[in-house]
Amino acid sequence: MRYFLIILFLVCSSGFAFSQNGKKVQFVGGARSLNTLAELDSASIPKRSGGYALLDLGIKINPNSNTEVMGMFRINNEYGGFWGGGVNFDVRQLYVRGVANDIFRYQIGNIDYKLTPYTFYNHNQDILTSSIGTLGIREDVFNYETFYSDNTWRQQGASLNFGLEFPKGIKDIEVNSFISRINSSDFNFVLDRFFGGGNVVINKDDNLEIGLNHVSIFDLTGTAKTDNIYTNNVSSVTFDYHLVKNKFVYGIDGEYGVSTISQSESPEDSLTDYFLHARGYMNFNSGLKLCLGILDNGADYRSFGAQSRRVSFNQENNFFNRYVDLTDSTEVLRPVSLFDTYNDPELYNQGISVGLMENNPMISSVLPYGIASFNRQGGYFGIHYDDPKKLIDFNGRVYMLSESRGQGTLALKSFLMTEIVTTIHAEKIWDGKKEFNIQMSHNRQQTSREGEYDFESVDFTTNQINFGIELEVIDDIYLMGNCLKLKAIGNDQMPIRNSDDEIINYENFSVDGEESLISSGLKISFSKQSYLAIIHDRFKYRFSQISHEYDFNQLSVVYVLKF
Amino acid sequence: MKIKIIAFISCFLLINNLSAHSYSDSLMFKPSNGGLYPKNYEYGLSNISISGFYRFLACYTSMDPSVTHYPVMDSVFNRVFIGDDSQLPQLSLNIGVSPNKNTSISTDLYLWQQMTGSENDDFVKGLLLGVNLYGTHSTNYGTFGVKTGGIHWHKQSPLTFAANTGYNRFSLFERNPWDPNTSNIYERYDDFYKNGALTQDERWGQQAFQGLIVEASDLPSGYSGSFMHGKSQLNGGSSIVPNHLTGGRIQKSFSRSFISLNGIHNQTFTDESTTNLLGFNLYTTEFEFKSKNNVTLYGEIGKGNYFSPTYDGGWGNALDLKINFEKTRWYKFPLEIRYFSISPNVINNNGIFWNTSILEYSQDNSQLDPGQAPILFPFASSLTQIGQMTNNRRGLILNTDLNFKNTKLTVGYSAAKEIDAISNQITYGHPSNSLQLSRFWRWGFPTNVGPYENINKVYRSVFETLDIDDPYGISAKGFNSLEISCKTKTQINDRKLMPFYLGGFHSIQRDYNFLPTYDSTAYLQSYNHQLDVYYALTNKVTLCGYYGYDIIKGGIHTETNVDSGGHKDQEGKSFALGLDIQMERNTGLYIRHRWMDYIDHNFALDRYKGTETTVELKIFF
Repeated sequence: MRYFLIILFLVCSSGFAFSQNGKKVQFVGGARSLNTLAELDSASIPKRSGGYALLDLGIKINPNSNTEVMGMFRINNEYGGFWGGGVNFDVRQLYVRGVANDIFRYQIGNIDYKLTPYTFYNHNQDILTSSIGTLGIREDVFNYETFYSDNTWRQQGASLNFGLEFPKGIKDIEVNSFISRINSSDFNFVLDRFFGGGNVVINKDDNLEIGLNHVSIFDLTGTAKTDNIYTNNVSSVTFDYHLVKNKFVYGIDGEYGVSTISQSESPEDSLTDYFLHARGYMNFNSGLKLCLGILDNGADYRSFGAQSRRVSFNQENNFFNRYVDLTDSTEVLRPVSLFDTYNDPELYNQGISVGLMENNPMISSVLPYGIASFNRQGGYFGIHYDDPKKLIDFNGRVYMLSESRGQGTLALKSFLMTEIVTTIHAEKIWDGKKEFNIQMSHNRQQTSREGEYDFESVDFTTNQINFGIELEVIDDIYLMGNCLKLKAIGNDQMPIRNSDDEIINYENFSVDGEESLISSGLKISFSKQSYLAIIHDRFKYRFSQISHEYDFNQLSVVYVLKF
Repeated sequence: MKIKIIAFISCFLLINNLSAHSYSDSLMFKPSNGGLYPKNYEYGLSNISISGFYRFLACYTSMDPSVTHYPVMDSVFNRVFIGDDSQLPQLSLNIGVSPNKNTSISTDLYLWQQMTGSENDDFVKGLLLGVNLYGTHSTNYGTFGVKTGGIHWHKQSPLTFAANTGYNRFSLFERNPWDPNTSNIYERYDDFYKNGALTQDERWGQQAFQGLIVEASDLPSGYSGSFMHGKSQLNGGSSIVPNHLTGGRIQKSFSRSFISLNGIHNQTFTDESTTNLLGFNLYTTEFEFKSKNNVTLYGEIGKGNYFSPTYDGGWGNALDLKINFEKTRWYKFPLEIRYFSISPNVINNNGIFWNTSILEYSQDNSQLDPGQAPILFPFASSLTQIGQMTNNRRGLILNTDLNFKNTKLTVGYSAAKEIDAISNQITYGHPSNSLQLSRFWRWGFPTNVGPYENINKVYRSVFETLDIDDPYGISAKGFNSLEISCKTKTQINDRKLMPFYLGGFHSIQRDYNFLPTYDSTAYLQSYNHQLDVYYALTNKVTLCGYYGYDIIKGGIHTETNVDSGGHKDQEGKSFALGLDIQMERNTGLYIRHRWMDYIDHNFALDRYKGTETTVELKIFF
């Protein structure tokens, strides 16, 4: 009883006592306006203007101290729509959550969920480094739009969690479970598909934590006129063991598991494979943190809860989706560029996608599905430094990987990825009161393969450089600038897959070009969560082997306000 | 072993403690890092503000089909319509959120039930002003305010970006959608009598604007300013072809005076390849100097031009000067002397003057959605109320207020002349029944309607076009107007009675005359009388009466009817009764019934006769 009372006290003092402030109704949400004037030199309508103002108004209703219902409306007002023109009403999210009998925490409706990097996780495969400056504002917008936070995926479903505490032996056990619906039946050939699972987390003590995880994507029998049941099961064990000596932390963590993917009408096409990831880490008192890891992700490892990409590059742009090929004056589709992934939140995927989504090798070729990329083995080394004086942050990683199974040949591709991100808070040098932040990042990815035959030869290198700056000129008024450059050169043999994700052929992918963005702007911060920014972007696309070159200019005024 | 079931929530505290020992990437494999997010509860705002009004307006129009040649919507003669002519909603909510002292958001939501009996599509919902965002930022150099998003009401200077406020010579009998309820039902008429004006909402004198507005105040040395970039109503629409307005103002204030520089630039393209520019510029200086002996000199002077792929008329001048005398040794009443001159090359439909000179790129307005009016809506030579200026015109305006014991008289006189001979058409209104006539066409703003296809609908009014057929050719026409407003009060049975008279006497003739031409040599003579009477039956009930009479005559050098051979000879009459009933605080019931009769003695089809009844229930909250 003593333990129960202690925990009960913690519950009541935590933020999940919904009516702590005595209010039955609360309002959350945000508002944003965006106005753009853009010019793409070879489009049929070269100059375009557009924009919107939207308000997300969420109403939290607390019928009692342990229950909360939240509905959020979105009102979108198109730029140029006067007196009610161009207005859309929508529902952005709806859920009910609470704690039942002070034991079970539940949420039904929209849930933001993740488990482990290999089972259910929203990896950030394409925006490799978080930015400051103008690109930081773009990230702020699309992260809000897509609900990307803490590497969770937004799902429509339910979750149930509870914990057990033990007086001896084991400190406590947490149980997490969820179920969500990926698609509904068309009552013909598409079955109702669900995604469910959970984990049991055993806390031995403050040093050892073990998780038993399982997720499954599965079709519900009898919901359509087909018996071809699809399943994708992934089971894993995660662990974290660390020790602390005088604030020096060192330990090991990782994940090991197996995955299967099958369809009941073609069991011979089932895929089963394993994955293994282990690393050691040391966190020094000085702010220096080191890690060394190995991974072996089987070639047939499939876990779409963790391998769903944020952006599919097999889609059309929403903005200037076509432009004119000046060589023959025909209109062609404009490929999704790296800049588009910053500029257009609508390109982002907002849920689990069953099947392999197309990646852009110029942006991510080494780990196209994040850490959960299949057919990768090798090791990596990471170094991170958080200056206690807040002058500098440094993060660097080197991945040395290879395929575990050759594609189209017995020869294996080798991968080398280095990534460095340095942020300098320069005003600390002269004890200035106004912020002066400089961020430099570089990501280099190299793919190579040697072989007897020409088609086996692969040599593909990409370099992504991002330089950002924020200078506070007057209190809360910042000058900003970014320079983003992506260079790619060489060739790779890219697999062509059929609708079942089976490789049916390979095509040579060869480029020698670059994308570059120079962006500048001014930001006025009205509060911690609201600001106005005026941004000018100058973008050049120079991958003539993929599509013809173009120049793009854009002036944007964006006002972001959250509450 | 004793096992206790605990709420899972407590484990989050553990996570937070552990995370302090390791950097974020190492949390990736931490088993307890999975599950439902967010881990920490975030409180929201406790309050948002909601205000607004409910306004039910039912209108029954019944025309006599035996003599009426103006079908009332859908070619019928009797019509029930729930809503106002401007389709304003019944319920209008203004919702405001202020996350902190520097920022706020507002939006509005309207609901309109047309009561058609349909279960499915009877409700109309939407936003009028859209989603508006505000921010302020105070620095040592001044305070900066930012407005973005939906429609903001904004004023720069009268010639560059503002709405005409006129001289408050209008009838109060018909209520406008924006009219407030007053704490006392009679107060509205009392105020108009005492002050010569009504308290208006924030829209008064301002223009709707969508985009970015930055306002700077409290700058050093008495400076202030504003900048705007976006769309006015005339740039509206969802086309992706850029169509925008940019303006700015810098003002230097003195203790009793100010001077400012203003600019406005409007541009769009006539083609999708966005190469052919169309638009206008206007740059002005506005100033006001007040002397210690109550003489005020106010003015705005500037230059503007209009440009298009096919037109380059160069730059023209715009001038609007006023001298106000509170009272002088030789004249004991307030007097304003105003002179204006606006070149035909100066175009700006966002200012207080209309465009009557540039006719190209005009469109059929009836096919456009709200907010998609063409960039330059052209009017012909217009007969306007005193104070409403047009380009291609210069003139003198005199205004004075004469106060006697219980009687207040305001008199205005203007004599103006066009600068260039451009148009052989005249447009004019029908004051007595203008609002009712506009309700014959409920949807959109159709042009060239009516039995002779010469009626154009605008917001809550109509104007008619008259062709000039002058053997001496097109001339730069002269315009004269005399307007009188007389307000008096008395009592009957110890109850207040207020008669308000409004008279307008206008003429348009071939050339400039300082005095009006009241004979058939004038292209157009227009006389109208409107009498409002308000009688307080009780403290909560006011009886209202209205009589309107207008006569409009076309001159000998204007169009004739093929059948009669005569010129326009129009006579409109209107008699109306109404009740204002205060039901509760902020709740008013307003009933109006009007008999109207209109005839053109030479244009046989130009005739209507009938009644209009409206019932309005208005509640503010």
